[in-house]
Amino acid sequence: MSSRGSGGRTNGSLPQTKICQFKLVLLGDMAVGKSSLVLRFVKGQFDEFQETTIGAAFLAQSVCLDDTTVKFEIWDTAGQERYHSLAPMYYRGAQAAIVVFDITKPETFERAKAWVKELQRQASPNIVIALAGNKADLAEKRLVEYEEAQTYAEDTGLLFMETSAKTAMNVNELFLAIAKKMPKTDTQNPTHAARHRGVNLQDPDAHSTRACCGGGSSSGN
Amino acid sequence: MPRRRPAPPPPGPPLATTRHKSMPEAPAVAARKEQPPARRPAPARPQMGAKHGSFTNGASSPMPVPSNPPPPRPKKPDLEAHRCHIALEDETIARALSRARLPPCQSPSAAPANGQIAMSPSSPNKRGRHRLSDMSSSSSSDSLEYSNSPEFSLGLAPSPSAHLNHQDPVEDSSEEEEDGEEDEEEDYGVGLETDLEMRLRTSFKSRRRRRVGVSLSGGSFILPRALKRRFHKDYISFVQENQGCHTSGMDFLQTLRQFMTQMKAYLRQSSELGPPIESLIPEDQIDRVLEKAMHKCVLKPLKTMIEVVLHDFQVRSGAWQQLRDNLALAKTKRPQELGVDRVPPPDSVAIEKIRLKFLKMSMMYSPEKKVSLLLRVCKLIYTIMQDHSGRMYGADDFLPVLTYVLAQCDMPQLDTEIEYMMELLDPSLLQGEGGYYLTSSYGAMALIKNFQEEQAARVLSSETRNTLHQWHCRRTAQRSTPTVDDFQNYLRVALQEVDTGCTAKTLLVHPYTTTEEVCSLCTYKFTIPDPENYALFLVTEDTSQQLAPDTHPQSIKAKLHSKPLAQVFHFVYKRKPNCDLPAPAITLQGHQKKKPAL
Repeated sequence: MSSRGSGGRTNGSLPQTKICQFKLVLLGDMAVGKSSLVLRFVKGQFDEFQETTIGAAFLAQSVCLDDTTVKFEIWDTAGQERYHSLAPMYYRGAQAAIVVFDITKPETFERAKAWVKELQRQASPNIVIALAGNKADLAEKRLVEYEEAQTYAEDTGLLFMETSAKTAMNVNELFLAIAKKMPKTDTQNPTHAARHRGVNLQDPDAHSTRACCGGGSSSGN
Repeated sequence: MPRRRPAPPPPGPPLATTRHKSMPEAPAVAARKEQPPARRPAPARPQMGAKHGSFTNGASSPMPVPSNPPPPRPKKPDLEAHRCHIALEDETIARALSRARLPPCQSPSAAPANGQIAMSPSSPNKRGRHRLSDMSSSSSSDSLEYSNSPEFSLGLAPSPSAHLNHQDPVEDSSEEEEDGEEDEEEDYGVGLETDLEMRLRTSFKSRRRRRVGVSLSGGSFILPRALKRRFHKDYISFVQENQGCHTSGMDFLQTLRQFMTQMKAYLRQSSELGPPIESLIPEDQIDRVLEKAMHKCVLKPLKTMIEVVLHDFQVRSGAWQQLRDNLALAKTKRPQELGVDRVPPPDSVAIEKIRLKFLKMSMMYSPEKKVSLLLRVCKLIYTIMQDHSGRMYGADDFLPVLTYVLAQCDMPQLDTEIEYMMELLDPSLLQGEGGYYLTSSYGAMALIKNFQEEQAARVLSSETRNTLHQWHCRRTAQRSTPTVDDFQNYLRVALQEVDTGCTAKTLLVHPYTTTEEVCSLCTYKFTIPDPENYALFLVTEDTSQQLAPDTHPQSIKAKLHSKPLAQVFHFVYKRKPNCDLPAPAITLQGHQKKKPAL
């Protein structure tokens, strides 16, 4: 499997390291492989680091970087047009997003661009956006050139990788790249601190030594 | 035995000031959902606004003063300030507490017998990292079985008296919550068995408590009884008096949420509580314990009343009727018409099972418990989906099935149930799995609520629409060569009205016809009495811009058509935003774009 990325392992002993928790939203047209991508990522990991969830529309998975465990809570969205209007409810508060398109379907790339635009306008200002050109195993049917997507991603400031949920190509790499890009001293991240300690964020006295990623400083938010 | 005031009768006649918002429609909801984080969290110290005579007096004097007329409501209420009024004032709470303060050392046996609120950390080792998803994954026994709660009976609304009768024996039941989600059902059972059971378990409990090193003076942390009674007595009368100050059910719930959050913050900091809360409960659990206590002493006694208020808002706004109509309509639709096309939908037996779970959910007062039941429903849906195929399904498939299930259950009350959970759940829990499925349910319900409009906007049945969509794709795929549409002298313009939805007309518009001329044509064709308030807008997927009078719609259309990539756009004749509520404009934008530009 080409998916063991360098510079970080996706699993490891959970730890004395700090734990950061992030909400990641998946956007993209129907049937571009959003859930396959995430399922490949999650299933490729050792079971003990998975959190059991009731289904695949919401998944939770940790990635271990050097001194930090980055836990993603992954929110899948329905790609059908009729659900478009619900999307803001899903990406609200997300600290990361993967916008997925199918390299064999140019219209899904255009849709992906529209999502990126919408995210940049309406989602959290510091959201980390990754663009994934999925189904890279279908090279012979390719209709979106790598360079085109790459150039677009560079111009727009996105992470970009071509992936294949089928062969696992770049799947872990993508999540690792996102994990590395996440602000580890994020003061705008209300989730991790609250969730690990179950305390009231509104309470400035609610500091805890277990707070991760500078979470202690987030309690004033 | 302390008597509680039963939940008040349904609120009085509609208030003149109530200019209701219609129930949030999906896009509007989305926009609205951006707000709560800003307005919901309460400041660390309850930051109280201007004095509010009626409530301050009510809470600090021994007699409630429900006879005071509600304060005159400003036309546009400063909601923040208003919530601050409603939430308790520092002094008020402090006084209530000191009056009601009990000796620091309360004997354990006295606690459950006196109708006091007992708050205890439940199994901290487990609760410390308590999350909704934990609840869900622990409920893996959730098969197609019915509820195993013996007390559960269909359609039995939890009456206030049930709470009353049973209040004392279950005071300590928060202890039992580690036993799973069944705890709350005990509240609806007959008290005696529970009481007995509680006593039997005491030894186990104290052992557990010792194990985690929490000293609770041998008993429970006590929120003084008088405070508790005052608490909701005052709150109930205050809520009654000030119903008119709330603009919607959501607003009402947000006020409640803020009240609980501020109360929690107060209790954490209050020096009035003896012994100090930190000495009783490990720091990382205080919030959970307080949250649970808030549910118990605010939501539990108010549950029936909250339901009445929410329902009342819905009825008065017309949203209830609209919801019922749309649900009924959605129920007649085949799964495919709701987008369920890659998995077989749940059959009627499964739907009935889900209905029962939803009924059970509606009996809970705790938003967390409700969410955990919602998760069970979702899990059941997944089980059904997977049974047929063995594969894992993401949102592309799950959300349509959930929408179909909600339509088939035909339970309009679920709308307020979802709202209740969304607004009252501890905000920190909205990010996890519970938050995800709550969001999905909310979204599915929003779609159903607007089902008719959606249908009307689409005009066509879904099959035809699909065909048309394919046709549209084909047509726009070869955009490099201009089509006849680019040249013909027709322009399709939709009229968008707040109350009647959308109608479209094809107008004869020459290339050099100005927007101003098109507007007057629209005025005539659509018979608009007040054309000065209307304008022509170009609505695309993500924008809606008003066209200047001297622009040429046909040339705009031509430019858009000649772009390499087809962009869906419409010319819409509608009210200018400053003339009317902006909300419907945003909403309909979503519908508009589904029509191909003809």
